[in-house]
Amino acid sequence: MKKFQSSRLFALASVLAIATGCEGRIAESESGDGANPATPPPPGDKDPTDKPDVVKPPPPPPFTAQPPEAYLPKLKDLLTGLPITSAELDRVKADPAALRDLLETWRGLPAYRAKLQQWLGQAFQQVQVDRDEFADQLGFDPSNVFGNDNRARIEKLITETFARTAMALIDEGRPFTETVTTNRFMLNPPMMALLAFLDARPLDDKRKKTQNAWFSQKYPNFQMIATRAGIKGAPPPAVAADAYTEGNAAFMKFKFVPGSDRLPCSDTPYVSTGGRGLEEAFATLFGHTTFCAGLMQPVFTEEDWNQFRMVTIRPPAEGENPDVFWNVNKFRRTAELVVGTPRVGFMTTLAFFANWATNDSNVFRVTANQTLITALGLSFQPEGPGIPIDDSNLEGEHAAKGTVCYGCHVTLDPMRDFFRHDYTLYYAKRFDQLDPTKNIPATGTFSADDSMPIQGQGITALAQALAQHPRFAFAWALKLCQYANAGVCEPDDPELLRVATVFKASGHNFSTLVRELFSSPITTFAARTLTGEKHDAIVALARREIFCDRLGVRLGLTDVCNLEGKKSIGPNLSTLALGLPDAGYARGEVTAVMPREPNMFFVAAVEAICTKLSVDIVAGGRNTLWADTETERAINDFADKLMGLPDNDSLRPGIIDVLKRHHQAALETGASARDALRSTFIVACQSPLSLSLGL
Amino acid sequence: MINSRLTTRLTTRRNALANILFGTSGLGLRALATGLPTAFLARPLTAQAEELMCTADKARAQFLILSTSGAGDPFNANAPGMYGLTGPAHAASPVMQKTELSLGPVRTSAAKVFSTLPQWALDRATFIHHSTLTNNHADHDKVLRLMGAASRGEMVPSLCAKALYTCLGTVQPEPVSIGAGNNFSYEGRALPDLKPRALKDLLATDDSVLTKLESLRDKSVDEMSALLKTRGTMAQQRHMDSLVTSRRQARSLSDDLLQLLASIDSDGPSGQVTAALALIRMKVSPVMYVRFSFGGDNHEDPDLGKEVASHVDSLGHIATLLEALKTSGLQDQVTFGVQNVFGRTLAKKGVRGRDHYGAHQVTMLIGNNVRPGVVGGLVPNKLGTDFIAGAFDATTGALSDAGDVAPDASLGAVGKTMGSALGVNGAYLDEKINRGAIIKAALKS
Repeated sequence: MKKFQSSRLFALASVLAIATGCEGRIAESESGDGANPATPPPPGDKDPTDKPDVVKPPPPPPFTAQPPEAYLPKLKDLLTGLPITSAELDRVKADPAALRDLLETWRGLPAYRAKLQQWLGQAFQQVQVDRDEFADQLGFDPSNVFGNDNRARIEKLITETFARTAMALIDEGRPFTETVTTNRFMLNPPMMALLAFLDARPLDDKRKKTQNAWFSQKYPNFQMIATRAGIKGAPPPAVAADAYTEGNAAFMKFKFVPGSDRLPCSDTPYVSTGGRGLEEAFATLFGHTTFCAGLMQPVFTEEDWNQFRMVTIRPPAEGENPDVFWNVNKFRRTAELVVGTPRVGFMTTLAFFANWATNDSNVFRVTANQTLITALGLSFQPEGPGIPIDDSNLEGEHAAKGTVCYGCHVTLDPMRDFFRHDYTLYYAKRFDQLDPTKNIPATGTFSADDSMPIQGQGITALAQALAQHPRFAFAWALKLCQYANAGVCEPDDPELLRVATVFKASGHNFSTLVRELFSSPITTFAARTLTGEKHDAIVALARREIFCDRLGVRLGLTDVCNLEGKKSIGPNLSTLALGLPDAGYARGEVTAVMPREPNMFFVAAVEAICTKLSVDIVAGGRNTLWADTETERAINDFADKLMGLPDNDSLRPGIIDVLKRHHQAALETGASARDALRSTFIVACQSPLSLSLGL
Repeated sequence: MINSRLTTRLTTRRNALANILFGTSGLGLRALATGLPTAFLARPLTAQAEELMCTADKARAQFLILSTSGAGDPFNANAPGMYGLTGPAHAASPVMQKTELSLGPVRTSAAKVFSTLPQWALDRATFIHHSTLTNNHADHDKVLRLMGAASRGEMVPSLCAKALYTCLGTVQPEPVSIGAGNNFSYEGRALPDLKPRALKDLLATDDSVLTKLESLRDKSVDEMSALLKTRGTMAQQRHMDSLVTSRRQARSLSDDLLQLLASIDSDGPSGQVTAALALIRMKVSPVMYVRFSFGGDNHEDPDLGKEVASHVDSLGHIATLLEALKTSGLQDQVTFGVQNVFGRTLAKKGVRGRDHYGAHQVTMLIGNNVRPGVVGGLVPNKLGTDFIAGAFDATTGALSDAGDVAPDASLGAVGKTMGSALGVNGAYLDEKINRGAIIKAALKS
């Protein structure tokens, strides 16, 4: 594959190819804002005093080094959401190298873990789950099988599973490359049951529900029987103790009360067989049956939902059966889940698959490309044929030679075959890879960015190839840098390369990456770097998660924007908070979406949030933190907590003065002490410091 | 209080509003109204370049307000074109009785309730009878993606929005769901649902004491900005300036727009109507999703009572919206559509209710580029137990076994036709949608 030359060339190439509706070869990520490089002045601009035969190096672009007052709050905010303390500022002012020690301290704070988990979910593309695509992957309507409450829980669970897993790998000190190759995942018993269920009842390429062969052999004539045991509104019956005990007379026999009176409901027992029978049996674990929207006591307890541990997912050994999904007692204690469906790395999770659904036309191209983007920060782009390692894998209808599309498919199609070996189009285990009508090549091939082509079979082979790719360390250094700088990091910045080199040399230790990157001038802007030269010190709006986390962590309020439905304060701010732009990722985009520029909707949303919050937590609200008689303490807290200004920040006296004068001026308009203090809170809450990252 | 605040404004608010819409501060104005990731702002040049192209006929470019639902409403059961056959069940209610209707020069019949739409709107309305190829609620998103016929799995409204937003000069290309649910996506990103009351909370004001202190707060925030600028770099100073500009823009919304927003009192259809009107006047996005019910998932619906009531309500809301657009002088720039995940059975259960039906659906389009009439129609199914959408001729719209739009290509044809009705270039549509032909019979030549 030809080596990538410059991001702008690729941008141009993609423009050309997008017009053709096709992607082509692999491109690297670009700097976040696509800024133009410094260009030499035209000949007419040459200084006439220059000697004709002496070439002066161009003067360095203007650059203002950032003081600790500017970068320290940004870093701590990004990593924990917390404001800096006076002592922290003093330490770094006295010795900038002390920042590295502070980073270690901050990494020990609970708030750091919450932030890191949030970022890992985004970085591994696990959070923007399409509910319908998730339902497709399951093969049933989640509301019917899980119930609406459990549905939300399951959806949250699947979006968090890999971030939890990556956190655990980091905690264990494992190389970060294991995020690509791991077959150990942080699971709770409901999640284990779900994975075991999907393994027992796979969906084929046409979404037909089937029973896994081992299941059919072990449970021939499997059936589930559900009998009505009361009227709607009656207490849901408990599941019989032996309902999941094979060989017992009560095996797979359940009682329920109707959950709805919209549906006709018979007194005759409902008998369900085949794939549907498995679904019904699975639903009972969550206290549901789809018959009459029936209810029973769920098998899973609160403890089950909260009990996470690292679990190795492995295929059954010769002669061994996989785990059956109703074996909850095992799931409560096991560190091993036996299923035939391969689960390897971030790119085989239910969430990743629900993000990137494929179909009989796409056939895993989106899966392969998003995997490449996530793992290595590379994407298939048009222009040029790449390396036609073996074009027998190409689908002619999509990639006739001589077309722009050929360049894409000649590289992408062999990579997506790794997925085809193991999964159906609905991401269930594939059993028919040897069926000649499926036309699945025996091996897939992976090569990206000049790497040695690697051939193999199945997702594990692809995972190994990705983890061994020389670009891995750089890709993740760049991702984290873009997070810190709201998307802006120059890929060619020597400082970024240095950080990546240190990360790699540490054995891909993620904590080392955090320490190196967040103490680097590429994020502090305390010294000149290529990124700083091109973009100045990055400043951006406080996007949704930053703004909401700050308010929550600093004011001691749980889920202050109610984005997780766990609000600890009165007003429901979620609809307003959803008006704040957030970080995200998009199909085919190498660079994460990181909004930087404020606009009127952002400002209006923040103002509305601050106003509603003030009514609740300031001077007489339901969750009052400051009484209207506590003006002095309140204003100091506003400066400390909301605005993140420690006592020894040189701007603090001036800011405090503005707040005090605002309070006084409000009183002078006739506003009550309560409203004056609330208005002062709003000023602090919507100040540039509160609305920005990097001021 | 709205008016007291407005009296304090500095200069011409309408000019300021124009600046908000069309941009004086560059990228800042191209961000979101809805909380979506501002892809435009941060995306590499690759994606921007495509979006920056106006791939529509500017003179014909239209905004789209699309009512769409995964419930699979029985909109297909009583629409124009449904009363020429014996067999489909209709409620006994007077509002569902067969009524002669003029769609421009075309005479047809429909449930009487359709005659409550303004005649000027009926004169630019088409009703396309087709199949959606699914009877599964969960396939709502797939129907919007034309069941696999749309390039890169993009939803048709998103494809159109991308083609239109430069032509229309909107703030963002991403469609906005206004209380229509969060089942929509743009370039693989799920779009959040902006509830009408949230929009009101965001931009409208009240007469509380805290609102009255707003200008005082603005002054204090400006003082803080001045202080912070003393140690700011150029980039930081620019950022603070853009915060100030954004705040001033929010303060500069016109009187009538603020009053319009303040009148939103629900997240239901009436609120959606008002919010859609406001967002189009603000030129936020080329596409707005709303959700008007026409009976919902009415498997069990004795005497089709729910179906009747919902038709009356929703066609009333649509009439209100259309008249409001006309009052605002926007009737020639906005196309309104109805399209659902599937239709419902017509004859199978009589008036006891209707089941899911992927074999027949009606898409309605009302717009300036639309040729009025009925396209396609029904034929008996193989068992003779119900009716299915038949093949039709794309040029005449007539039902015909030899028609060039077969039922399995009709959804793609509807997608292309919707795009063409919005002014999107045919070549772009052909490139992005690989099935079906543009239905010329539904478009003004």
